[in-house]
Amino acid sequence: MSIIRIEKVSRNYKTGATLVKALKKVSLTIEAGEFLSIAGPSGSGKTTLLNLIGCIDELDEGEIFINDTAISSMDKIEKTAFRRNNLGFIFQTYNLIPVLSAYENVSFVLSLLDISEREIKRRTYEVLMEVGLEGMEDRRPSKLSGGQQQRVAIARALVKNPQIILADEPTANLDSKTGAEILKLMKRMNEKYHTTFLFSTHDQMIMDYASRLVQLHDGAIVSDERRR
Amino acid sequence: MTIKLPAVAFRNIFRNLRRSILCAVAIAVSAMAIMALLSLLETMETDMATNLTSYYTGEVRIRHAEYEKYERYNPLHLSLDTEAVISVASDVGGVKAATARINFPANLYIDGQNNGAMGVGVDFATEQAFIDFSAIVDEGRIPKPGANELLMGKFLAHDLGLSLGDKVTMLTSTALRGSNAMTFTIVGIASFPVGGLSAKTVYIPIDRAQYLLRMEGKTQEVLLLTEDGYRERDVAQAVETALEEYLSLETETRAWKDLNMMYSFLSIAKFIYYVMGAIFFVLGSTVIINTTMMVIYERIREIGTLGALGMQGKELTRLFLLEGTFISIAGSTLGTLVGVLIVFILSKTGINFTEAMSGVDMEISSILFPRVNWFTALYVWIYAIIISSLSTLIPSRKASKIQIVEALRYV
Repeated sequence: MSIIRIEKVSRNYKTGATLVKALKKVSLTIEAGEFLSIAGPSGSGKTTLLNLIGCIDELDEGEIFINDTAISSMDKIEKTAFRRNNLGFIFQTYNLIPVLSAYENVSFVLSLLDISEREIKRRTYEVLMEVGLEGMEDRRPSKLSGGQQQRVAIARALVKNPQIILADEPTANLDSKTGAEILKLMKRMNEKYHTTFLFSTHDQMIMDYASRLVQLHDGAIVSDERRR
Repeated sequence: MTIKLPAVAFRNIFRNLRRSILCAVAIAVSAMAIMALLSLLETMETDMATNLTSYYTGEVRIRHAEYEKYERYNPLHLSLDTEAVISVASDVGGVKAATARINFPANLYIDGQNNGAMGVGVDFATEQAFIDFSAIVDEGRIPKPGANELLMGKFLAHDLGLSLGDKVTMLTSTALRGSNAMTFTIVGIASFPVGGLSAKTVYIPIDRAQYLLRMEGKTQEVLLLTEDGYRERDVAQAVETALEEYLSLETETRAWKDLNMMYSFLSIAKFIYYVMGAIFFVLGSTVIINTTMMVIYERIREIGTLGALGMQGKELTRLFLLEGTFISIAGSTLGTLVGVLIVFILSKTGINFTEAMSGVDMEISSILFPRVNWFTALYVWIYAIIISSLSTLIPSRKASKIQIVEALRYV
């Protein structure tokens, strides 16, 4: 069953007087529970595609359907509510809130939803344990390593049980060993919760973890390969 | 416990503590200045009211209807029957006390020289309700009725080189436009709160003033104090009507607030100051506006992250507004407290305006003792918080309008 349907999507940017065609009529269907890597060199359109799926950027042409809902039909408030309820984000630079502890960074996302205090506590501790941060709940980001910070970010994305998690180069700021660990963790979470993971990368080692590899070049899909 | 938006906002204040302190200090300085100056203005207003009603006009002043028209000629013949007027006025509802006064220009003849002064004939017994003589007489006592005795202002006595027991001859024009002179013994020296009074006034018993001025049984004016709960203007109107009805006497009977332009100016000045206070706070708030704008640009990536995580624009606005509000609360609390402390210290030491007020004909005491008015303190505190917080609303709203995709790209 497809969870995301991308139909002839184009996105252009203006850089000064130059028009940059970031995506050119891209079409793609993503099934629920996939662990999909969007690969390609810098400027190939990976981040733009993730941003469009994440409802934080606007389409110029085409349509994206998530659960058969066209995202262009949603207004700003609806998109925010949609992100809040259905999407999880993992960023290359972790983007944790520095004044909040690991526990607070994760539970803060749940506090935006209509969930009881008890349930927030239960789910936060559970997910922090899952990502291997037991005992580090009270540490602020500045007291955590890069890998640990990305684990907090994964926990933050996972804690609300979203249908889709979008990760933009999640391992780019990590050494290869830590990067591999993060990928293994994401894969494990994907298998355990059947959450759809979409992550962008240009690292071959990371691509190898993906169950499906979509290659972008100059804003167009050049290959779409399913793996075991 | 899950962290809430106010807690996040509170912690954010400490991210750049020095800058937050600078913001709070800017607001504190505004609040402190307004607190201290409003207290001073209120004190001046209260002091002026006290001096006017005690030494000049009472709360209601009754004069002959024609007196004001010819006042510059000192028309003492346009007088009132003391006993009859006081009797009728005292029976009017709301009148607490009544006294008669005669103000007249005089010369004090000393060593072949005339020295200008202002004579005031008063009934020291009934005057006690208006003037607390025991508080102002520094040396000696108040004059006795029927005796040629006078109470002299301290500065006047000093300037003329006079002291207790000295005799002084007073020359003046009578109500009949003749000249007369009488010699008085100085039995008391008084420090009046208003410098001008201490520098030129002599008080004598009213019966002696009537004799000197050829005004037996008459007075230039009758002053009234009103009971609490009565409006002076209503009492003045009722007294004027009663005098007309019972004595067929046309008078100019007016409440003190209608007689003193300076007091009205002071009230207007106070209102203007409240408006200026708002402007002052807005100016103080420019620091917090500027800081909030800087904070938003510094945390633009964080704003993008929060937006991506599903935080609504109004929640982002609230986050920055709360930060501004916390700083405003800290600043206005500090400023108001320091302002209260300054006023408290001044209430003990006093502010000496003797030099500044010399030559200024204003019914304000030479030394002012501002009082801590908790209502003013509360007003300034709330005022500062509201204006400073609202100022941060402008940049805070900007946070909600930032494009998430642009914000996340920001390095």
